[in-house]
Amino acid sequence: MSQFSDKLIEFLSNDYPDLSAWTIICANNRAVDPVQYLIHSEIGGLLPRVEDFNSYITKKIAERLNLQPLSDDERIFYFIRFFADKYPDEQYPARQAASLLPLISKLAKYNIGRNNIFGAERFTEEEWNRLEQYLEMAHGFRVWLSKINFFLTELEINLLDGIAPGEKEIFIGLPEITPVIERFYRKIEKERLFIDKPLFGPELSGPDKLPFDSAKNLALSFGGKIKPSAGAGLELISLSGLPALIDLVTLEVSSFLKQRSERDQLMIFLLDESLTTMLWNRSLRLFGNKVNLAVWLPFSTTAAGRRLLNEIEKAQMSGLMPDFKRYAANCALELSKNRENYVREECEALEAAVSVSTLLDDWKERLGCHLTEAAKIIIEAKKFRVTGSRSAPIQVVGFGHVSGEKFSRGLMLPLDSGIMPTQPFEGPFINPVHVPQLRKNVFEYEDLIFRQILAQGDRIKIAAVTDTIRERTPSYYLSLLAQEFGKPVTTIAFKEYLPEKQITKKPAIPLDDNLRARLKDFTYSFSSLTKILACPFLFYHQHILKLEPPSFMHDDEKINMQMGNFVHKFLQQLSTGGKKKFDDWEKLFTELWESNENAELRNIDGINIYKLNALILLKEIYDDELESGRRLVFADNAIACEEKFSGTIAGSYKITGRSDRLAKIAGRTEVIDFKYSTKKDKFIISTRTNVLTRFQEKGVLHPAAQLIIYQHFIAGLAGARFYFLKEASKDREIILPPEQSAEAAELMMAIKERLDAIISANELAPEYNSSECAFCRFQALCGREAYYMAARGND
Amino acid sequence: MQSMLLKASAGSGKTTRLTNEVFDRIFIGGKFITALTFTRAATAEMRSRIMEKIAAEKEMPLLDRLRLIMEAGRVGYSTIDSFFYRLFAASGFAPKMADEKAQIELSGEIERLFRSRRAKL
Repeated sequence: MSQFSDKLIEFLSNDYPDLSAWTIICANNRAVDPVQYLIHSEIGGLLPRVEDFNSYITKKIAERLNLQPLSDDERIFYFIRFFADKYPDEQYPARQAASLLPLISKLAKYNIGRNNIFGAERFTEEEWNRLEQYLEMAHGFRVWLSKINFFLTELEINLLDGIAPGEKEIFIGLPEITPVIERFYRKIEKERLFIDKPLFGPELSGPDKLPFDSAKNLALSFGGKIKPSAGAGLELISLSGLPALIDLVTLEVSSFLKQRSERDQLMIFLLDESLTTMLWNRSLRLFGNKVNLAVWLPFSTTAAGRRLLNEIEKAQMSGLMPDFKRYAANCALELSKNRENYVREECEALEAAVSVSTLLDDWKERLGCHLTEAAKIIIEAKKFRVTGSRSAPIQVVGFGHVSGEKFSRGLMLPLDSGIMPTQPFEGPFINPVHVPQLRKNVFEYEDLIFRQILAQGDRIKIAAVTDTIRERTPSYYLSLLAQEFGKPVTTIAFKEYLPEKQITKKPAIPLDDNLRARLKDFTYSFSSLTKILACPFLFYHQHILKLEPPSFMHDDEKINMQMGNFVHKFLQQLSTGGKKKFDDWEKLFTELWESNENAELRNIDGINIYKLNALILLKEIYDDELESGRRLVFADNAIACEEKFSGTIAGSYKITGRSDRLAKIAGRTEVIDFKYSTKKDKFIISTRTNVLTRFQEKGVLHPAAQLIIYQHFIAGLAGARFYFLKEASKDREIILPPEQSAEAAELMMAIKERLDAIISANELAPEYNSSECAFCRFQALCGREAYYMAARGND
Repeated sequence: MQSMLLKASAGSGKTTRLTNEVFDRIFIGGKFITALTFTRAATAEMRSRIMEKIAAEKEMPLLDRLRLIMEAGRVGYSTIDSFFYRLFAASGFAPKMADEKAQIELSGEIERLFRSRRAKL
């Protein structure tokens, strides 16, 4: 039973059985149903009218103006039409209108104008002009609406000053107190205004007002009282990480269901509506009919919502008007066929889809070219409710739910910064610093609701989330409650659930004689050799079955690789083009870029930025070489480019490859291998690095092995080096130390022995310990547990 | 108000100092305070530290502590990026997530700028 119920019943009983002359006005629309139920069950007879404050004032203003109020769904459509007419040059009138309508409504609701801007001396001329423009826009919209026999309640709110509360009207609760609403509520006789007592700590329960914004001040100023309490039933919790909310809700609901007595209810107050879908899908829906989800779900995230958006986009692409009537009919058909099979929220979403598309069909002529944008806006804003039983043991409700009814257990979450109390303005267009009254009013209203909820519950847990990644921290309001009631904030961290490792046999390729022969006869490149040594399973799929890796690579990485190939081609032509080409290299680059054979690369969307990057890198190298006088890339040093070599590894396995450039450097013939990357650590050959020992001990082939192979198989080479084209510093080379190349024969023998061992085994198995394994694109085949690393990192 | 530049290495107490500065200002009734940090983590840290600092003032009467919490709640803790975003937002110049049409127009503009720069090169 609510705090005011006895008094209300006493009031109405005098007129029993005909109570129809009375009107009960609830500040919050969520209180309407319980009040109606209370009167019906306690007195009965001809019931009074019970409505919320918004509909009450809308009705009063409609009587005064003799105009029709705009419905919630249609107001944005009317405003788009007005806005598009008034500002024909506006590029996106629908989007602009959608962000301006709440703003001008709020300006009107709070009577914000030139005369009540705080710190007006800091308002710039531009800000004044903008404010004038919005006020003028609001006025223009009112006039425009009245010509078509409509009005918007928020814009006409000042008419409340001329309206007096009737004698047979009872008001329950306080709404958000704007200046005009305050004046109206002050006109209500005290005995006909029932305000639920908000809960306050013992030290704050004196008769005086508090020295800061507070629900107590608000309640006292309207003749209300407060409920002092030591907060015995309060528990304050801080959760680590947003997903912990799911654990807490699941734990609370299941333990409540086990312990509850017959009529007990657990009220869950969701303070952040954006979490509804997550909590519903991952926790609450599992409890079936025991949960009544009385909060709003976003329509756009449902299958029906997404399909409707898809229809709109499809029609937009084909230049046609979306056929909303057909979509509504299809949804209705789907609903009638599947009502028994679909879960509740799917049915409700389909019903919402029918109503939205019918509305859009009705408006399609009037909105004309703005229809598509307007449709997207209304779909994004549309919310719907899953209807359930008010007697269900678990009631999930929004923050506005102050019905006055008592409950045994409550859970309020998440009490995070910016969620409770809310920011009165998050922009755009007006700075809250200039309207401090707005912040005070919003805070006091929310403080009142919060404390009225606290007063209704026997035991309430209030949880906040600490999640640095998602920028969530407990609200200062949690600290306020902790200090006021002298309660500790308990930190709870739920242990993450990790599935046990599945002990299943990993896939492997059986090796028969036929496959052995193919592997023995295979002509290896450095790349395929590295693969078979690192992971025989990967080698088999990529080089024997020639499977294409799945399209997993990031676009950037893919384009970068193609750009690298182009730069290699350019360097080849540069070195074979004669001396005159060096200083005119940009022309050569452009010619090659514009050539027919480069058409595919040239046509890649967004390639220009990669091309510009390559030009900048080459220019840097060119300038550095010009400055230092030491020419290596832009040099007349090439003996051969893309020279093919071949040989056998320790007389057993065929190997082949092409060197980027054989160059004459300081009188010696050397090989240069260009890498289109920065100088990564894995290429560094430190004094402690021994390619042979590392291979023998760890089975890992160091990238420098490529240079050793070049030097081993290309006759007459006196040296080998990598050249890193993307290296930011001027130190772009890594030179193979002579002592490494001296061990080439031993390295070849070690490679041969490893290949022998791989080929003589019974199967080609995946090698999960390989350093490349985490980045491999064939993991779907080998069944590696920690599936795919995100990326290799950008060059 | 006195300006102060504090340069120190990581972990040496810059955030603690900033927290103390904020505390001192709300203690004397300062209004419209904004505390900016470079990272979200530091912002969150500062928010909780100031609450801890107020809670630790056990000698202070409860009403004063609650008043300080209310004032601390009004301090604009944010990263520098987010502060400027809000500043622009309040002035009506906030960048919005470009929709498809805007993206096409932006791409066209970038391409045009790129070509004009290329022509100059």
